[in-house]
Amino acid sequence: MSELLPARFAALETYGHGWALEHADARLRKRMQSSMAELESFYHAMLPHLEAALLYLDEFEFGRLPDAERRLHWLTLATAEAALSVEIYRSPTLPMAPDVSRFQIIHTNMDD
Amino acid sequence: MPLTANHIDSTVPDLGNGPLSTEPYISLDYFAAERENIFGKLWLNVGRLMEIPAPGSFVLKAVEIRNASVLVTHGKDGVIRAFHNVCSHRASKVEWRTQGSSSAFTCPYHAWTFDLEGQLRSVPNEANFIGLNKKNCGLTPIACEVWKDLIFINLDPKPAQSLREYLGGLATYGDDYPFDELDACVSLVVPEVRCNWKIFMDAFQELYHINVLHRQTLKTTYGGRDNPHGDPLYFRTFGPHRSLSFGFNVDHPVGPVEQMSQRFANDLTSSATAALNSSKATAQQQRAGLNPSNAHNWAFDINTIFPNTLWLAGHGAFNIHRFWPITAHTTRYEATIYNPRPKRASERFARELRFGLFRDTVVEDVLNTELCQQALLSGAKQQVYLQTGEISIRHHLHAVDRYVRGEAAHV
Repeated sequence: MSELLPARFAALETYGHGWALEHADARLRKRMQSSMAELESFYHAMLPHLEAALLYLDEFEFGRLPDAERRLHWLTLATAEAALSVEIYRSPTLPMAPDVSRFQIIHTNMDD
Repeated sequence: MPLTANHIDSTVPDLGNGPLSTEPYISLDYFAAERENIFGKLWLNVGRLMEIPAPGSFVLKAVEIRNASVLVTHGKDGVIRAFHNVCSHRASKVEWRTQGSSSAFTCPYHAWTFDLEGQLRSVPNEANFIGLNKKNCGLTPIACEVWKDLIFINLDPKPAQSLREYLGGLATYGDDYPFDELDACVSLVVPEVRCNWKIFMDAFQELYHINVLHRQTLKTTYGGRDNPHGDPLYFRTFGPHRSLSFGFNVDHPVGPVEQMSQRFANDLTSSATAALNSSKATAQQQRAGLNPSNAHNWAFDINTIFPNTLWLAGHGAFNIHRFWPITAHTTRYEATIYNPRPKRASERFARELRFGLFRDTVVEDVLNTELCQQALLSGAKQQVYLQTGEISIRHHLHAVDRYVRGEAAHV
């Protein structure tokens, strides 16, 4: 089976399946549908590699990341989403969070 | 620090201190007057030039309270124009795409075709229209002007003031703001918030509620030991428009990933320390008329472009919020964070946590204001109470009321 992530980040390979999500709303849904234990597990697995991953990705032209690097990039974005729950909210969801279907998120010029 | 007279500009009119009526939030008659005197007569910010960057670009904007579909075009001559998106034949909607590029607009009903300048170019089976003068059958124009790169329309066929006259001191305040450097964005759209447009706007015009309603999200981001209730740093008005400055809590603790976000980029909600470490951000702050009280922990100025646009101007990033009334008790909400375009993956990463926090905070406001609206409609209360730190809300209700009562050609 081919690897999802760049070889030097093989330690994170297990998260390449569920967490390397391209779209912001998918990352939000993933956060909201995860348990606190799952969020903490992902967060603490990513944290020791986060800085190295960001510096590694910065060596590539942004917007033209190869597939494995794109997935690693999405993992860093998912880490930011998970950090909301782990570092700030202490909860996967917020008591006043409405159904995600009530709003839309639109990125322009952020990913190219 | 508590808000004192020193923090309210001497030019701000006397707005009183007493409780205010709930009528403007619930009354259908009041809403009808807003439709005529405010949304039918004043300049409304509908978008940014970056949405129609080249000749041929167009974008559709809805102004529900006026039943208006507005077609904004970038003409071949470079001129930005706005039209009612209504066919001259039998009033069908001409353009259905919300955004795009085109050399002409063809009505889907009978294919009458208009150019980017609004002129009627072709009519199928034209010979059967006896006496038709195509020159008189262009799209109905809407007054359209641009300040900086914000596009405004005015649904009054003969606006009483130019856009510049209308914006007055707010335009002078913002003339140096580097809008053009901040062209990457992420938007949050809530198609229907079940509350009056003003009560939702109110939630963005004070930080008194931040450490309470948003205790799980924003926690101790604003305010701080010397300002536990999130009092504004400064308040001033420009006719119906206004500017309110707020400060960060410099003692706000941040976790490791949030710290890394701050390290790789600054933006509106970075901590004061991170923001002030950026010499570029400091230069931007000095170039524009921001942070009038020169506070060391300045976070952003919340500027209201009356009636329904908020422009949160910060270090190297800004937000635009628009509150579009649909009915007296429902509102369409659109909010966009603008940043410099990310040049590296790390910079893109740095935006993500801040946007997520913004998104989650705003949706807390959505549910809360919907509950407020329902409570107001119950008739349980006839008045609301405002403290000095909520002066921006008082000024908004004052300005709306002046227009509703027809007391002000301009406030």
